[in-house]
Amino acid sequence: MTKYKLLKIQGELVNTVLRADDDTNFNTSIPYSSGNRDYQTYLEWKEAGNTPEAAD
Amino acid sequence: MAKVITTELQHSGASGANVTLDSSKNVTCENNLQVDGNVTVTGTLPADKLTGALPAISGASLTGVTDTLSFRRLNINGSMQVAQRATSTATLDGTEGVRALDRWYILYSNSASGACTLSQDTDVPTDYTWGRFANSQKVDVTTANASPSANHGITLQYRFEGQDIANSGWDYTNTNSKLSVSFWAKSVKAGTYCVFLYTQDGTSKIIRTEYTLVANTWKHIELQFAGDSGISFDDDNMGSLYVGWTLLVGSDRDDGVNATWEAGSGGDYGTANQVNFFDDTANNFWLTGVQIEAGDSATDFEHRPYQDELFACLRYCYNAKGTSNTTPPGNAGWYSGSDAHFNFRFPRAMRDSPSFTPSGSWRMNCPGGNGSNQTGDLTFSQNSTNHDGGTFVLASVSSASDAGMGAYLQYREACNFIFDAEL
Repeated sequence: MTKYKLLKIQGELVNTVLRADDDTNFNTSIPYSSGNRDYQTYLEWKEAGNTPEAAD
Repeated sequence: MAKVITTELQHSGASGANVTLDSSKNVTCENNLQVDGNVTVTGTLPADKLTGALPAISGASLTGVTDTLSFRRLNINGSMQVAQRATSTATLDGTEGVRALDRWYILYSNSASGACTLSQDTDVPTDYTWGRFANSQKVDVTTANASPSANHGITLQYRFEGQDIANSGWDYTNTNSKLSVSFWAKSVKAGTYCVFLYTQDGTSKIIRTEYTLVANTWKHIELQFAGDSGISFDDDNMGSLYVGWTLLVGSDRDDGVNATWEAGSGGDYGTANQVNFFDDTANNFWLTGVQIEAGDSATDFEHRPYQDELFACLRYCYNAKGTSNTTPPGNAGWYSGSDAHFNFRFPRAMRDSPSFTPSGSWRMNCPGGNGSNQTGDLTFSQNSTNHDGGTFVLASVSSASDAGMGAYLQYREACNFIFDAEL
């Protein structure tokens, strides 16, 4: 199942969310950009009631 | 039989000869010549003798015409040359998207079951009438879906930005103006298939047109789609027109009327005649020579050099791949705390801010001490809205270097760094 996690860089949340396609490795960086297809999928996932994991 | 021997023929009211004959059997007509029957020329007809206005001749009547109109092919990678992500990959519901050949999208609608391997293949047409090809795209069914649910659909798609259709020259709201879709296809499974146009902007609409294939035989298909007053394409970089090759449709998606625009909300990718290509794992489907162009008829495939096709594809995907101990191009970096930052520019501006997925292992190198090999903790952030580059951030770096020291990112094995801005 796809999972998402917020990202912090130097202690600050950035406009990027991480995606794990294999449930463990958050290795895809998705920018908060309305034209990005993965970002639209992330918004749909949130719209369905899901919540991303907190940033490390 | 009577024979008239003379050198001139003249009308009684004319001031001179209408027709002159000479001893070499030449005939000179001094004014207009009207022929109500056919004209046959067995000798040559030199171009320098065609000095007057020529009649309008349909391009479809001409032969031997190649590449006289550059950039008429609107789609890229129609000859299946470019495969940056992989030359073969398994797909199923949940792994939709562009997975193998650049720009070619596999969609499993409504969690359709079934699975296939998409690959770049060397099975190509041996009829070179429309151009010669070295590659095709193969769809190999690996898990069958013999009894699809009503809302299931599996389609192979090419997706256009709105600006590429809005500026294509196609008068898309005019029912007399056509978009031509031509391609070579071959399938293990004979029967009727469909190609559809699905519009995204304004009120979504869809049209699908049937074509037929004989089993295991390459066939060149030429389809024309008329415009419609109800469709629109925004002049922007968002997905606006999806051209799809239907492989499976459930009973709710095969209600479409052949060659007729209908509401897009039903997602009728096929007609009732559409075969279920996914009903057997023995089924394979090949596609190549795809040319989508504005106009009433298909023209010869517009061949372009590999580097041009690749450069066009880089707008949608860039794989900054490398081998062990090499570095990503254009990186110059600095080091701060436990995070290493590396500037990076794409070879061309991408369609939008891309997603970034690395695979392999990498590390930070710097004079004060190289970091340990890592397989994670590498993210990418866009610098601006120009979509032309950004910053790698490598976290949890194990190095004793001081902040501010120069550093560079190094591949520690064969790596794929994929930036994806697909539609």
